[in-house]
Amino acid sequence: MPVNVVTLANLEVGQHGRIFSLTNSNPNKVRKLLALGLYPGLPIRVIQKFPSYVIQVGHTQLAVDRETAQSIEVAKEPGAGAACRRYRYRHGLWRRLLNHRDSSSPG
Amino acid sequence: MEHCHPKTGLLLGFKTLLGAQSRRKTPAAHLVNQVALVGTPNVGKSVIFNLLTGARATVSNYPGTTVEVSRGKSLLGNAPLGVVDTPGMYSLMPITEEERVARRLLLDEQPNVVLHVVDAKNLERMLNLTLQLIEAGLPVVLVVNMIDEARRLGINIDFRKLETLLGVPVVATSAVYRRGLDQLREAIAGYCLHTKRQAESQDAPRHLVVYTPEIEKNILKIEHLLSNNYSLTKRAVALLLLQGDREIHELVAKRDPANYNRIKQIVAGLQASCQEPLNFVIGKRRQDKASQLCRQVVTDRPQHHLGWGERISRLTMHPLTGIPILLLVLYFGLYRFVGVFGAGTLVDYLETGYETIINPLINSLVTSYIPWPAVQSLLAKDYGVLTLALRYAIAIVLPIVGTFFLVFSVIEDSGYLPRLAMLVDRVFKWVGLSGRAVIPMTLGFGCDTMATMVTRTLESPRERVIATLLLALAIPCSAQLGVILAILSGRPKAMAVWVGFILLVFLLVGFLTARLMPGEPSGFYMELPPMRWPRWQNVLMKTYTRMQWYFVEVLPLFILASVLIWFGELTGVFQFLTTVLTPVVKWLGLPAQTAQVFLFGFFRRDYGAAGLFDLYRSGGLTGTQLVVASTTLTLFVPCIAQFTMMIKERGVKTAVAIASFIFPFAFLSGYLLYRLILFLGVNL
Ligand SMILES: Nc1nc2c(ncn2[C@@H]2O[C@H](COP(=O)(O)OP(=O)(O)OP(=O)(O)O)[C@@H](O)[C@H]2O)c(=O)[nH]1
Ligand SMILES: [Mg+2]
Repeated sequence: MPVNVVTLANLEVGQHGRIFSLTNSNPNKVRKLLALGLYPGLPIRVIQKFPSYVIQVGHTQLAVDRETAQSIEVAKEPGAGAACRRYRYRHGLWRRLLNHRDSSSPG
Repeated sequence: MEHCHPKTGLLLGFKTLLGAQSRRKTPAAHLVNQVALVGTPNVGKSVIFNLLTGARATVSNYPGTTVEVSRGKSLLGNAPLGVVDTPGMYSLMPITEEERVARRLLLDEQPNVVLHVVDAKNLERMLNLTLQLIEAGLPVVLVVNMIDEARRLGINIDFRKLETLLGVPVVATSAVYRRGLDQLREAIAGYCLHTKRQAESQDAPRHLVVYTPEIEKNILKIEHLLSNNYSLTKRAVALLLLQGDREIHELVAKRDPANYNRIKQIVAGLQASCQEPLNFVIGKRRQDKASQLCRQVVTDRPQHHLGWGERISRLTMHPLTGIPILLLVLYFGLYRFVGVFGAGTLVDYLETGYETIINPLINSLVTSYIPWPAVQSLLAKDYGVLTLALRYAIAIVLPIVGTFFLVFSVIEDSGYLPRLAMLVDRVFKWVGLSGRAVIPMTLGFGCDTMATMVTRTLESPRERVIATLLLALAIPCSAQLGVILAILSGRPKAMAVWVGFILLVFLLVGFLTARLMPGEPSGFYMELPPMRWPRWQNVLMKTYTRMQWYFVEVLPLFILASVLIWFGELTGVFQFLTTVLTPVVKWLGLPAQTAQVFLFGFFRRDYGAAGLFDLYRSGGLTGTQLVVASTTLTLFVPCIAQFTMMIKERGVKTAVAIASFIFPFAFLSGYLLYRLILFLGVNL
């Protein structure tokens, strides 16, 4: 596994990357994710992590549970992590909820 | 023709798919042209269906609104046109029960035109299914809907180019604004006129998606082993076999028994030579094609700020703001509007009118014109059809159900429910459900019968059984809820005890069932549609249609109950049953008259609730008695309508098992609660 690949569950809120692969011992679960349109190569971003995961793929938002999030591997876009963490500390919760800009969305 | 009736259509469809030997009629053999609407959930299929047919299929802003095929008629020029709306499906390989329904329809009925409705904002994701439908040789028209929203997001699509690339007609629509319908009708007409020629033409098919050489080679091998027995192209059948579609495997085993073993070997051999599951390799290849098509036709201008919908969406999903929002929705929507306004003010008003004007009038008319006392008491007096059944239906149940459905429609159309699902998924996991179950559960607060049907959208049979049980046990329907909210509204402590106890039962029974029932918990995944302003036309129409449905459903049963009670009273059976139930009721610390209420509850939940309301208004129930009666009645057996639906959806065995658990459990819980209140000595 390349170094910058992590499971979706290990991404921080606001971080983004591209779907790298789907790993789950249950082929049915993988099938479901594929049916929902989560194909490797597509840009993905984490919007929320608790109580469930909310992710954005293209113009679609999906809610998934932790188990599902763990079965999605994401190749992080270089540099996105640090930028995001800075962003998080500088702005309060309200700011983040209300003004979290999508300008960082991957191209 | 069987496809005129939904139920038989489905039943026959199932049989055809799994066994019948003969190939069904070719499209050209249809007497009436048939159009089927298919596509991913929540893309606007039902809106388009309603526009084409003038029907009133339910439209809401969450995936999984339509769970059954609905049929309507339209005109194409002067010729009749049959239109079929289907539950959403994500791919040609179904996952949930209602996805199967859509595919069966395509396979069995072979519509002349298949309208694949997609969301313009998510073309890349949705073209995958278009490619599958074209691959299957179906007469596809691609309907790119919601272009208004796509434009607002700065997405532009070159429809003409897409049409050329795909080789099927492409129509752009904005269904709720009635844009693009003329073009849609033209495209349908184009297909219907040319169907005959196309069905007969034997042109070599053009393959939009070309798979790896290895896969292509094996597709050819399988194609040669297949007979001409399928309504899909052999290529599509071969691909579904390779992807491990269970239903198609069974079908091929039945129709081509001689070659099936050979086919199985080919599939296994190819899978063995592949590192990744074939299903994935094939899907990925198709998705690459879809992405490539999109790069050619879609231009997307990145957005630099969040819209209002997105902001509200995030507030509803963040636990710190989401939970207070949920409480506000419950307080204002449910308690203030349904409980206090609907079940309080409106019911008071109507009841007073009924009791001071209508009932005395009926009673005096009946006594002066009908000489026989037995008939008098059938129509009027205490349990008469006109004085009791109609009064319960019109003055008590209707205002409550109406206010509930009004609130519920607004909530549905805003897109709040999927967000709530996401918020409660963890709690629901605990009781063996997933967040997805929020939709049947909240609908259950309207009518448990409707909700039992909607449990179909849940993924595993296990989850469906648990949801059915919890709906039958712990979710009061709107009539019960309204009445109980109204009678407990003056007593905050009593209300808290009732809410707390029912919640406890919900969690405890769910928790235990989840532990005892075999099977794995299902995972949670759900699309979050954008938040949308509810459109008042749709909200009012939905409320009206549901009230009408409810009323038509409920009135005959109320009348029947009334007649049965009248008959029972005449023959003494009613008194006998009341006497039998009286000790049970006494045991719960309730006055003897409540036995009647429970008897009513057997017929319909709401009938029982209305009976309780009557009793409450006549005074004479203490706080404790109100709580115990409300609790027992909430938990008490599902009404006849719900029980029938349980049998239909889950089978007789499960339904009977659930009912025979609930019956003693409700009374036992009532008893325990009563003892507990006595023991603690609280004054409610
Ligand atoms: N803005 C906009 N909203 C639309 C359009 N078409 C449909 N909608 C909305 O999309 C939502 C879903 O519409 P439905 O017709 O229920 O979708 P469906 O495809 O039947 O969904 P399922 O029955 O769940 O498969 C509703 O809230 C509609 O108001 C459109 O053209 N523009
Ligand atoms: Mg629908």
